[in-house]
Amino acid sequence: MEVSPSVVWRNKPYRYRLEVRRCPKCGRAFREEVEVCPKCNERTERVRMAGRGKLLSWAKVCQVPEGFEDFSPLYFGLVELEDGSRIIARLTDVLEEPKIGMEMEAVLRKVRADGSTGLIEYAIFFRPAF
Amino acid sequence: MYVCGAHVTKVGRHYEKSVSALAAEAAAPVVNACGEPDALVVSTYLSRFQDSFGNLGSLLAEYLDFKGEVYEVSSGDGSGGAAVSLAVRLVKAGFKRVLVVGADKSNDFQSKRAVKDLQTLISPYESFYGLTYAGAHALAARLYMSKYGVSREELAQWAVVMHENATAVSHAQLPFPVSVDKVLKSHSVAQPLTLLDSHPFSDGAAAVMITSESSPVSIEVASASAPLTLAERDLTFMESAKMAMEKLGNPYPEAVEVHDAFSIAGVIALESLGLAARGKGLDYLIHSPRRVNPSGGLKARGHPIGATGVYQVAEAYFAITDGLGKLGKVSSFLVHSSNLLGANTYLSFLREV
Ligand SMILES: [Zn+2]
Repeated sequence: MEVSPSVVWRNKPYRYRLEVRRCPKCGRAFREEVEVCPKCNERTERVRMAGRGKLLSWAKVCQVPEGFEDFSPLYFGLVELEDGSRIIARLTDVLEEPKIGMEMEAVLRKVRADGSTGLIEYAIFFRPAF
Repeated sequence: MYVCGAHVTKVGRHYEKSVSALAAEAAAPVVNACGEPDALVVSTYLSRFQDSFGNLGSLLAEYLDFKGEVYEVSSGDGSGGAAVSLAVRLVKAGFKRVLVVGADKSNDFQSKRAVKDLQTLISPYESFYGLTYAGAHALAARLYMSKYGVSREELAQWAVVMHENATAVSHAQLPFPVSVDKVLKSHSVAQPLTLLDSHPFSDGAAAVMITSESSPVSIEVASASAPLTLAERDLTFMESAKMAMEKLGNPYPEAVEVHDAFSIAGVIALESLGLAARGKGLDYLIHSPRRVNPSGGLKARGHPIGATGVYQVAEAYFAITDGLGKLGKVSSFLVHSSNLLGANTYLSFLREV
């Protein structure tokens, strides 16, 4: 699995902290460094998405892509956050079948490690809130 | 604008042929039948990753000894539909003939490699920790089933009808019937979807010639777009399909090919096109099983990703000129090609002149 140091570095704000760039005029959120809204020409503001929300849908991915064999099966959720935004994220700590409508919370977890460089990727996952 | 000829190769596993060899095989008979084109528009998607080759349009032109304008068109798994749309626009702009060729390969590695390559359809901030093409559709399926109270057994009907339709189509990849029970018991790809809810991994190539010269089959196109980011849309509906259909004037076709990469996508497509009410796509399918994807759809004819949209238009042409599978002959046919569950929709409406 190839992990690029520059990609890991530039994706940290979203993947580690759920930080997005939001346009103050149209309200759209960009999940990467889009500094000026291309529609409104307004400077975007760095804001953090809410770390809690409600599960709208989920999937258990059994046919995993190359590079994810050790993590099979992968759970994914579509979560509606408390600030009204929506996110698709990996789920973790899934001990029993998730229920639509259940409360979820963000947690930082390891995604994978690069065998040759030793680089470790982390990201925000969601888990059932207690 | 008109379609003057079409040719398809059998969809399946072509271990012996590269994407360029398949493309040449599909293109040559159409050029022979219709004459030399003014431009060549080529679509492919997965072959760039599977064959490590990103210059198919140019190599195909060399093989055809074609010296005119060449374009490669990309719009994810809707690339074939995008290529047809662009060709129609080029003919409208003054070219006499434009050849569209879609060709793709999915089987040059183990399937987990194709699964990884197909992740490139999804925005990186949603795909990076493992979300797959099937996983995205599984999220849509569970949302749809809970919203409209549709059971797993009911959804399995899609695959049953598609496989039945494919039994009469000689170029289909999976021309054998399946039962609801078999769909439910096939192994899980991304719950709630099973293997038999899913497109097979396919290789294949198709070609159609678009022309301004009068021909027995006319073609009109319309397209529209929506956000690519999956979290930013209603996964139970494709707004872009509804918008494109309005641009076409909401025709009521005798038959339709929809982009059913997974069963759920076909159901949602019928509803988004306005052919069925929301939540009633499966009812429409059960009432008109031969009129929905008479080729067997992506599910059973197969899904050579960047070529699929060109196959669909070729099939619509066959249905109007000679008849297609269990549908037989019709005089109007709608084709729905879609990029990642409706991020972009490309519609083609073909009619007997
Ligand atoms: Zn804006």
